[in-house]
Amino acid sequence: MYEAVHAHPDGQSTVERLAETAADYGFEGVVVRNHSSARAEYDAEKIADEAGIDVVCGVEVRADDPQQASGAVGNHRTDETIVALEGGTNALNRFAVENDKVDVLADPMAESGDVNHVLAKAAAENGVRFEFNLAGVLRTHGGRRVRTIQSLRKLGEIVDYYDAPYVVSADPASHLELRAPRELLAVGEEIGFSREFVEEGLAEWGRLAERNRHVQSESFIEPGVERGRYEEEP
Amino acid sequence: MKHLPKHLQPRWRYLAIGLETRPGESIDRRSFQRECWYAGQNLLGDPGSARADLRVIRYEFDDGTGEAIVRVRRGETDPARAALACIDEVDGVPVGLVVRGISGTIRAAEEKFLDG
Repeated sequence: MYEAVHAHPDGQSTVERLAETAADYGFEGVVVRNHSSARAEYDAEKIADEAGIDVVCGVEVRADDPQQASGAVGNHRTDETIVALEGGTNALNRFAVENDKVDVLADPMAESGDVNHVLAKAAAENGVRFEFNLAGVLRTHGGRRVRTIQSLRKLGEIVDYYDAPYVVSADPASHLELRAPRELLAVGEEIGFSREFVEEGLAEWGRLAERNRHVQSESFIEPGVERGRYEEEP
Repeated sequence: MKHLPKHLQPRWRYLAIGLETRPGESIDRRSFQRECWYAGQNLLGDPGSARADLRVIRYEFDDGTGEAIVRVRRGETDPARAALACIDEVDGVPVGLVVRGISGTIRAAEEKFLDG
């Protein structure tokens, strides 16, 4: 299971610290998804070696409108393993699910954003994963938390019906905000998601990273075509 | 009052908790207990938090990190885990919290999951 984190300067903790804590809590890897305006400087391989878990380079594009988002996604696609787009308005959600360069639509239900059957079908078709962001469940209270849980349940019903891909994250911005996988499963169960559902969502980050690394590796040319070993002359 | 016969005594599970906060900050036992109960009430409601209990049995805090043992009724460990995961700050100080393990006795919880 993987967790997708915001590291310093986007969050308050360094990538090293986050990876170390995540390893201690039993995660198999972390995805560093700093916003495009606050990138972190770090050596993923070195940290991965030290912490003993996978460190995946990613980005969460924050844009005001689809035009801006389109440019930013194109810029980051070649050098980041995971490209997420921060949702939050209907226009951006729509843009994200219709664009197969986007891996993850982060927090689609935030602010004025919403998801419906049209978006879910498009997301399933383009392989764009909806994010179930548990930050609002873990770190807000009262009416705001009620609304967050309501919107997560709505998203859950839609995703379930259309079999759309999804990821789950607690969206931590510091090592103190990290929560262990078992805790997240328990929280999911309390707000109406089965343990398997949350577990799949946490594991999906890892599968996504693996797939993208393969696609970006030198031996991959296009789907079904790969550079292999040549037959040797006898 | 005479104590209950053994088969009527409640069965407890003890959650060994690891706590962490910013260096130099400290969290006292009272506030942590209050946050546990609030978190239980907010996530599980009054009946749920009554079922879970969530009483802090042991507590130690020193230089930014701490350990606690929280008592929970048997069979309510998962809701309790969820409620505890929702504690994000105590007295305005951000806190990291992890359930290190669950045992049937306080002693086993201390020996297996906490440093002592």
